[in-house]
This record gives sequence, structure tokens and C-alpha cells, in this order.
Amino acid sequence: MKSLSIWLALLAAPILSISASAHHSHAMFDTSKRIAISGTVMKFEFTNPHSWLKVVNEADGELWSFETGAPSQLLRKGVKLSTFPPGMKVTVRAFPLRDGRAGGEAVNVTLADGSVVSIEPEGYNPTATPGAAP
Amino acid sequence: MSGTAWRGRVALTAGAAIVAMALPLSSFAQTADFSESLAAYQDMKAHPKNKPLPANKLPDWSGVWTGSPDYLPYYRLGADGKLTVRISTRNNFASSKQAAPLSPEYEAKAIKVLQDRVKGIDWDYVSNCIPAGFPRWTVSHYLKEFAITPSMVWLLNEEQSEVRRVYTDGRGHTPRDEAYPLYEGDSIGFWDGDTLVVHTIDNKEGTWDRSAAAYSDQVNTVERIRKVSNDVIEDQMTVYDKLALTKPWNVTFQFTRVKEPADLRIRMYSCNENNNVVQDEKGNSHHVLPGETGYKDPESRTEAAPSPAK
Repeated sequence: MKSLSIWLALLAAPILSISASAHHSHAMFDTSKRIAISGTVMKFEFTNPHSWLKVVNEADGELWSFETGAPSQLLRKGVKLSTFPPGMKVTVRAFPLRDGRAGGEAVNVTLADGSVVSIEPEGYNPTATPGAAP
Repeated sequence: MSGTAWRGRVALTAGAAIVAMALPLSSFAQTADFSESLAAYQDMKAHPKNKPLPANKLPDWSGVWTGSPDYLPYYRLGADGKLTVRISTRNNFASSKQAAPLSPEYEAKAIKVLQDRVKGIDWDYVSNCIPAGFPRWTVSHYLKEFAITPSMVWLLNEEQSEVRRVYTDGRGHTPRDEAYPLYEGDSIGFWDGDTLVVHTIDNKEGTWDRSAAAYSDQVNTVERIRKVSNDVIEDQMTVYDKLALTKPWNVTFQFTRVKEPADLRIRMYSCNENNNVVQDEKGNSHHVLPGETGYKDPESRTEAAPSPAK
């Protein structure tokens, strides 16, 4: 995975700093790291309880699944079904799954024109203190 | 076995059966003490602060709103393993005493939650796609609507389509021999001017949030809910819980109007329809990805989804 770049996060609060915006825990994501996957949108599943952005990694053809918020949360950020049409070239930055499988929680998406769509998880607080809830 | 002994055993068995049948009702209905909160509610009703509004001039709380868990006091473990710091980004608790006064038992539960989180174990009942319930309802991130009629107010949550029904037609609570714990409890209310006063009992036990303190099925509340500005509805709540708290807890929550997009609407959904999160053997949350056993494809929702693999 040539395009897989891991950022050593400068964020102070990794695992416990995500607010409970979802029906499930975020603990399966390693929020001390970020990955960047460049590829082609296979599908944007605009659905509840979470929408998913499916991207084929241009480096090796592997399918990556990125969780995003519920549609009502995305709409409040201006993200619609048409934001990520199939075939679109994107770079997704995300908190990776801890177990190394091809998935993560999307933070933002860079489009081909260089614009960045923020889909940062709601309640994400980079200044929170480890050990504190969100 | 003598006749006397046999008859005695029958009598004991019958008695035990009667007790067993009575237990599910008595264990809840006879121990849920809401007399203190009811007295406070009745006092507010007897001594209103505001002039009554005509039924056709009740407040307008239309629009789409959202809550936030940021009004809660959150905890962290101190170096000594105790809950030493209480944090809230939206409520300025002047001291730790103003944060929820947890009983020793429920403080121990809160510590356990944080200890488990450090281990990566972070699963709660909402993870199972069941309702958050009240009072957790209040701090849900999801969208909310408030529908007011002269006889009833509906407090609607996008999450799990959770509806709080507040009867304002003068009726009392559900009779005790018909009551049992409910996700949203049993609510009655009245209007004190433009303030909706609500008394809620018969709740299920739960937690304020996945990583916050818990409350018991003894929890009951009095709320004073008022639209304090065009974009803010405020909920001043007193929480009574003789198991979880050492004394009643006064806390204020707010719901803020969602302005963008202006035409945002709440859409009903089922949490479990495409839910691909299961609990693993360690108790943590685990995503089932496409191609893995148990994956629910959002585009195949007309088919019965297989049980998620654990």
C-alpha cells in the first residue's frame, strides 16, 4: 500500500476523545493515527445508521470501507449523495481500524480539484484529555 | 409422606407460586419511590410563576433541534483510580458537588466504565440498536422536534424514533398496578405560562451516555422546559434517583435550532437495518466489512439480514 501514509498524530486525545455521536463505540478506530487512501469511489452508501464511502485503493485495488455519519449529520455539513459519485477520484483521510483491516472512520476527503470535504466525526475533540469521556 | 405433610407442601408450593407471580410487579412498583419529585411537581403546579396562556396561544417550538452530551459532567480516572475530575464543556459546574452527586455504588460503576474503555471495551445497550431511553434522550446528538397541542406534547427524537409523550390534559400517571419500566418513562405535565413542566417516572435503567454515569430504574425527574430564545430551548431538570444519587441533581440542558440546511427534515430509520457493528469476544465493538460473514448490504434490505458473526 504505497499510498498508505500513517501520521503520528499530534492530537492529545486519541481513543477516548470521540463523542458518542453514533449508536456504537468508536473504540475500534485508532484515533492516534490517520491514514490516507487515494483511489476511486466505488459507492457512497447514503444510509442509516451510518453512511459508508467505499473506495478502491489505486495502489493495489483493495476495497476500503470508510464509515461516516448518519445522513442527517452529513447534510448538516453539506455532504449529499451526489458529493461522492461512483468513479470520482478521491483521497480519504481517516482513523484506521485498529485490527489493520481495510477500513476506517473518515475525517475528510480531498477531491480531484483539490477541495476538501470535511466529514469529521461529530463531537471529535482533539484537545480532550485521555481518560475523559468525549 | 403423611397427609398433613403433603398438604403443607402443597400450601408452601402454592404460596411460593403466588409470591413468584407477584415479584415482577412488586419489585418495581413498590420500590420506585417518586414521592419527592411528585411533591415538587405538585408544588409547582399549585404555585405557578407565570400567568396561564390560552390553549390557542401555546408556544411555538417548531423547527428542527439538536441536543448534545456536552452538557453532562464527564469523568476521568485520577492517578489514584478515583473519579477526580469532572468535565463539561457547556455546563459550568462551579464545583464537583454540582456535578452529579453519585452514590458510592454508581461511582464505582462509572470507574468500571472508564477502566474498561482504557482496555478498549466500549459497548453499551445503544450499541445493540435499542433506544437510548429517557433521560439519556435529552443529550442525544440526533435531531429533535417538539409538537405542542392543548392536551399533549410530543418530544420527538430522530434516534430510534424515540417519542416522549407528555400528557397535559390533567390526567395523572399510569395506575401503579398497570405500570412497568419504559424507555421514555411515563410523563405528565402542565403549562406554567410558556414553560412546560414535566414529571416523568417509570423509566428503565440506563446511562447518560456510553462513557458517562449510569442511572437506575428508580430515576424520576421534574423538568421545566422553555424556549429561551428563537434558537434555544432550555430544559432545567432535577433528577431524583435514590440508588444512583446521594441527593437530587439539578442540571440544565439545551436544544439548539438546526439552521443549515434550512429545509432539513427528520427521516425515520431503523438502527438495525444496515448495522454492521457487532460485539467481539472481548466485549468491544467490531465492524463487519463487505465480504465478511454476516455483512449486511444496504442495497439488499428486502432480504432478511443474516445474524452478524461474533
